[in-house]
Amino acid sequence: MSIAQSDDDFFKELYALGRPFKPTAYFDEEMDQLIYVCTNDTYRADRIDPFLTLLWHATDAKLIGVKIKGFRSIFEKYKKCGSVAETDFLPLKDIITWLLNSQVKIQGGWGNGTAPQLNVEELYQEAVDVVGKSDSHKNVAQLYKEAVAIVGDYKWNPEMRLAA
Amino acid sequence: MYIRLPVIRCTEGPVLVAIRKEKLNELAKANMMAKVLDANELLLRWGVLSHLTGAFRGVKRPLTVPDSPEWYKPEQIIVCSSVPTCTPRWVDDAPRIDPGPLPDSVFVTYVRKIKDPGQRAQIRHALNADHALVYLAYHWEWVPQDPLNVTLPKEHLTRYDERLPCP
Repeated sequence: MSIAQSDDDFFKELYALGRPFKPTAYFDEEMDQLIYVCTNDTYRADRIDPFLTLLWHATDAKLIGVKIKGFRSIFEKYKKCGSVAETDFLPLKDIITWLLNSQVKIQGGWGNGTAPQLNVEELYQEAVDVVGKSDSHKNVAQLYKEAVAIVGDYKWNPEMRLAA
Repeated sequence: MYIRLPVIRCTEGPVLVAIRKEKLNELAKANMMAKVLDANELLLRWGVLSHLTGAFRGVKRPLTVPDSPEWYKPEQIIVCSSVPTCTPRWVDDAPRIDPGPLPDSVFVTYVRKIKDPGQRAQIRHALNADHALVYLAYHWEWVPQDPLNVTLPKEHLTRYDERLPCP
């Protein structure tokens, strides 16, 4: 059997693992990023800032997911100022809101270790009022709000990770 | 175990590029079939890495992997862009190949040069190759194109540390 045939067989086996899709998130340890998608179709990844990338449907201009970069340290910092335990299922909207919180409190920087403020509407308004002097700041705050909306009430299972 | 990808044309000479089967297996178990399909159709069959439109070193984002070597840092990641002639899609629980690239997009693959002698030897042995340079592909996705240079990623001048020569 040639190597090419062997690869073909390997991918056929992988395709056979496919099942009806439901929204899912997984942590990619090698790239230190968490990816959430609510459809299995192809997406286009549009970078918002060093921490957040939005995933848009291939053809419908519809938001279908998010990528949170540097997730390991974000998770650790979030745990320090929150109440989540290692084994808890983690509401992704809280993480994204906390990220926005971090950037509102320290413009472009990291959270200050205080308890996270998790009302995205208030934070969005604060982002617009405090740092949103330019359209680009407003747009970023708006995109964080959209990211919170797309993940909804999804809770990430820490066991969903791709090992390095 | 590894899959060998079509070779990058690199100014340093021919390189061996591989992808971990275990990673693909885990993606499939997570039901991320679009990612698996892209790996098969674009990285392996079409050979995005042998049709480079640009290459960049260093991604400006946090990236921490405990106990990882220096070459694992974001500054060492190489981003390869390409414009494939097809767009694989996983629709209605089945693979589908649309003609042409995804509109207004380029396909990027994130690779690292393997500098650990043990891992390098393991990959060479697994793939029965003796190339001096060994890279692993870690992530791949479509991103928006630069409106002024449609074969490169949007904001490529600011989002990466440096542009690499690309034959």
